[in-house]
Amino acid sequence: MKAWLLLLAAACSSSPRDVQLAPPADGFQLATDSFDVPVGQEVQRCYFFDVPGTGTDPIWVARFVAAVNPGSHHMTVFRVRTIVALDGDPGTVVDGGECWKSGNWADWPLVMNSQEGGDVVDWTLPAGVAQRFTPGEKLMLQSHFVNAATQKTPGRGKAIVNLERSRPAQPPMELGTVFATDQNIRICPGDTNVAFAQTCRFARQPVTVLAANGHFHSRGVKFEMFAADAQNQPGAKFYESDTWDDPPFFNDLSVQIPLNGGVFFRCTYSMAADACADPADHCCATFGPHVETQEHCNAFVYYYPKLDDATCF
Amino acid sequence: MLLRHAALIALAACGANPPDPCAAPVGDPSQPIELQAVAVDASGSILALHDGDTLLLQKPPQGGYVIYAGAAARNLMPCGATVTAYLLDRSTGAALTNLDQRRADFTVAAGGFWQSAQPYAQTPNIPACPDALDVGVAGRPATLHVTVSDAQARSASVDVDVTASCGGDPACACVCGADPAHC
Repeated sequence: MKAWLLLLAAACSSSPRDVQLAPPADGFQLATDSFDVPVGQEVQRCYFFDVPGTGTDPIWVARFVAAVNPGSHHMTVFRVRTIVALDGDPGTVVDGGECWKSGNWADWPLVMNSQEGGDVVDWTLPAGVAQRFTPGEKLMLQSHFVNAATQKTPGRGKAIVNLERSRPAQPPMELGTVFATDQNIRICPGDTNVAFAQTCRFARQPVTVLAANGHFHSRGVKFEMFAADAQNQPGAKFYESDTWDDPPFFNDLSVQIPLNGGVFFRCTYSMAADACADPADHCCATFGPHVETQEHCNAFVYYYPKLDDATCF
Repeated sequence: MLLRHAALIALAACGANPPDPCAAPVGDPSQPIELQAVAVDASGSILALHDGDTLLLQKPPQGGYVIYAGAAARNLMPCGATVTAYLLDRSTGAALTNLDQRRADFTVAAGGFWQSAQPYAQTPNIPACPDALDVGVAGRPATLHVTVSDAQARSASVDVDVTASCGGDPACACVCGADPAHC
């Protein structure tokens, strides 16, 4: 409730103010500074944090609250693994540069993703399920704001995430995450309902999908996810979004994924005949992070019990 | 004079309106669709696949390794087709890789079949590894299974026996091998 009131206060002021969120009573908070998003530009910043605490006992997180300023394209938290060319001490930020290059976090497991700029995402996991963290574990929060033709940022950029701890008497079932992306897409002026689909099979044992959201850019007209069986065949649809700049986060799912199955995800795009994404490529949009000139087809999926960290390319 | 005017008009018409590659069928549309399995090599060229060939695992921009493989086709309307491809384990018939499905326009004639003018964008980008099921695609005998459905909902499939190869890339050999947890 407190979080909602703080956001409401910010929204009711005459000029957009930064979101505010009190830290959780038990748990930890990841927060960016407040930064300028100049007109005509996209700003992507990578912030590094350590999970607080000492020792080796796990920290179980059962509630996530994310508050992000209007204009946010995405906010994603990863666990830092292999260092390629992007790194930082806790408390530091990388502004642009290597923070744009997705190969730098290729094997960094997803913690959570939010694309709901101007809204608060408040997600409590079902009883008996929690995401596991270790004191001292390094995390990276990536914040992407756009203030150009496709999206506007009326104020400044800022993102906050609360990770609220639970202290269960019994070890909970661990939440696992899946990140899947189709890296070879091309949408051109005049294309209508051009679809790209892939599967991401990860269920070495049957699992339950709890939550999901999809991600693409302004040519995206429909994002769908289905349960997939062991032979890559789609079953029941459990996610659909037709709002590229404010995709829904479905967090009340209970989708059964069979043994050796996974997720079938499909991105459908259209592009006006007189539109132009990349002038150097016949005005087409291909895979990449820049909203104005490129496209994505990314699926974020949350399930239990956790198996390995799953990434599908 | 009349002939000259007609020639000029015809020339102008041709210049202004190049033939629409999607307008006419490729091959004989009264016959069943026929397919030739193909793959995209490291230089971006489309090559026909035959039983016993190797399929190159290639590194896309963000990470992992994929196989660019699909089919050339004939006896169909060329544009707006859907191509679906993945690898099967030859010994069990179980899916060996994830699946990729995308649109293709078969507008470029090649060896009696027609293929896409956009090798990477319109050839399935089969996600192979990392593989969360730890099957290990590299070096394993496999069958490439491709299905093409045209805009009239007619379809055909082709299978070809192949082996996925890392082409000497040691990182690929580990991630796409049988024990990726220890890479």
